Amino acid sequence: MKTLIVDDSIIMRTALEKFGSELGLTIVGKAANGKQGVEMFKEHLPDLVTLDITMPEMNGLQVLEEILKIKPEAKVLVITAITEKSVAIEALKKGAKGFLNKPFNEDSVKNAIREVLGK
Amino acid sequence: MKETELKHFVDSTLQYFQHATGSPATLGVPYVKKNDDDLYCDFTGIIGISGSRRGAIYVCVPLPMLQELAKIVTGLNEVPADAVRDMVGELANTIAGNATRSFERNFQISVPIIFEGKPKSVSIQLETPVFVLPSQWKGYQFSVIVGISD
Repeated sequence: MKTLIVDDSIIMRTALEKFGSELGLTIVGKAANGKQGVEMFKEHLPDLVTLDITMPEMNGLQVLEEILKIKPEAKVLVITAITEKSVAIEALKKGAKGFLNKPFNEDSVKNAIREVLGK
Repeated sequence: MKETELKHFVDSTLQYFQHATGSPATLGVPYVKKNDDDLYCDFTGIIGISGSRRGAIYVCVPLPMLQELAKIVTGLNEVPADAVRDMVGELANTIAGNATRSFERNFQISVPIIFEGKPKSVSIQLETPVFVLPSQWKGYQFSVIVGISD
């Protein structure tokens, strides 16, 4: 399954790539900001996107709207701080399939991905 | 900042390490920072506060602790140096973000700024009184420093 990681934190991108790869996902790109995330989405048309909310250039909600216009069936896992619960709910209303709170660990990442994929 | 609000930073710090690593951090007795305090740190993550309240949160961490934390967070045996450096920003960001959820949200928190060593002069200033939370994780000493206006 083609997967795109969109997160401005290097450490978070590194962790998500490792745990996603262990689940058998094919990481097709890692974007460091929202604008780059939309560009990579257009290029790769991934099936799954892990999407941080607080990012420079474009925030996660803006990215979510853009990518679902391009591929409405894409599954998006939104990653938020606990403080952003209302934002996570807004993301779900806009079409995200699930959300994951920070700080996360290996189990919470893998469980959230499995849940979004319905596995 | 009121002393009672410090509890949110204590809870957020404890929660971070328990949840992200499974190994609890321990916190010592908080104190008000004096100018001549010499806090040891290899890297500092800074989060600025602006809006109706001003100030900053600094998290000062030794490099060996960051390296160990980054290994646990990523699940990798070897973590690239840029990711290790980024770890202190993510740590500060998550502690600050989760601590301030109980505050009135008419202020903004900045994206993390990362300094190698201890910043002597930065544009984001701590507001007095500045509180230090002396902390320990897996034997490493680190500090969470909070200075936010009332």
